[in-house]
Amino acid sequence: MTQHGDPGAGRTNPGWYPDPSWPTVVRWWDGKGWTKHTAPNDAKAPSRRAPRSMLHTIVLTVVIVLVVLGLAGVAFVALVAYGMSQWASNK
Amino acid sequence: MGEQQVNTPSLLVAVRDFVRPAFVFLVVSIALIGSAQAGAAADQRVTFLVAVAILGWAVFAAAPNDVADRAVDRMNLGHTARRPVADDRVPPVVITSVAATSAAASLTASALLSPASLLAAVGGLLCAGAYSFPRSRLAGRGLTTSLFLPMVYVVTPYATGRWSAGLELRADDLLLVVGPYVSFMGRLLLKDFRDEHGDRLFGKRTFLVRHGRRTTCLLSTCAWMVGVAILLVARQSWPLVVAWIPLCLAVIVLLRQVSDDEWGVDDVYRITMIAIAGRATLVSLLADIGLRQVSAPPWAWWLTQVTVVGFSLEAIRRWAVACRANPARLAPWPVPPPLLPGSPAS
Repeated sequence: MTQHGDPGAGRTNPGWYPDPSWPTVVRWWDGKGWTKHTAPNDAKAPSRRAPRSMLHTIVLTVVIVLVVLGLAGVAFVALVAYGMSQWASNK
Repeated sequence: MGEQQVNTPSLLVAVRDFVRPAFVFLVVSIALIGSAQAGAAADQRVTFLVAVAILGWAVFAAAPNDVADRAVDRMNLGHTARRPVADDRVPPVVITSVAATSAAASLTASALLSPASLLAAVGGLLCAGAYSFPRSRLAGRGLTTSLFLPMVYVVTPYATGRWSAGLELRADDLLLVVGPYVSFMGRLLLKDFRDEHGDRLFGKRTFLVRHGRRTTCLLSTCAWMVGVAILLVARQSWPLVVAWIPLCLAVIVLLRQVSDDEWGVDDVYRITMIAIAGRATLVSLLADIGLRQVSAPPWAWWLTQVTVVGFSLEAIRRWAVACRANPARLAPWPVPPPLLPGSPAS
């Protein structure tokens, strides 16, 4: 199987290389040309997004928990105390 | 636990899954009943702080408990994807952050209420930790668990709300704690039906595993009725009698059906309806205390009864959905589960 391009300058040894026409897979280069054998490129390609730092994860978790607690508190105020306070003010 | 990609949506889902709506509704209702007893039913600041304090406590209680019960939850709830720890969806740093943040929020909110509320919150957090942390691990101690857990679930929120105006207790406070405590013991006995399979496999010595369905349902019925009777003595309210008699009758019928259904096919639906009846009981109790406090007109009280009816309709809706999924549930007798290929009777 022949495709346009090669694994790169100086890469003449057989091996798995990113497919020039399909970057999500790696294709077997037998030293002379591309073969029909492919494999997913996920494990070999570096992640586009940098790994989230632990501090970032902690801060994000803290913010989410506080927002959830606050919203739930407001919901209970709206469900219970607001109505009661309206009754109390109309006495 | 392997490496996980933790992004904002997955964190949101994980935090949501640490908030158990039914449990939160229960404990916040009890806390608001306490604050209503303290005369703060219409106080929006107190209501907000009490809700945050108890919700934070509830989330804190869930996090270490999920870690301690990881193996059992994988067996009992693995198919539901509702336990972020059992599903390995969150790394330990997130679990720790959730627990620490919710505990800090609980302590801050209760401290803003009063020193006595802070005392109650500290006690509740310590008990929640003792229930799940490996060294104490009260969760697997049979009778101790049945007595200890309802006490924490009722006393902590009630005391946090009741003491929002200072350390004060009246005679009917004792009844308002003991009533839900006794009823809740009956409710917790039913929780074991859902987890029966995993509990047997892992040797968890629950009451159901040791004494069987009939005894468990009978004890649960007695606990429910005694708890409701205590609350009626505490409130001496005819509207509550009118509201609660149909609920009690429904609970008795449902528990009888659970007792007779040796295959346990419909346990989940029946016990869910019983739990909904329990929440309706608390809502009507809160309404009874709060609306009397603000001298609301009688029709306002009846409006809350519509809420109770709404709970009943929700229970019926769930039942209808279950029946649509499996018409055999409409049968008046227990339906055995389908036989698996290779089982002795097939």
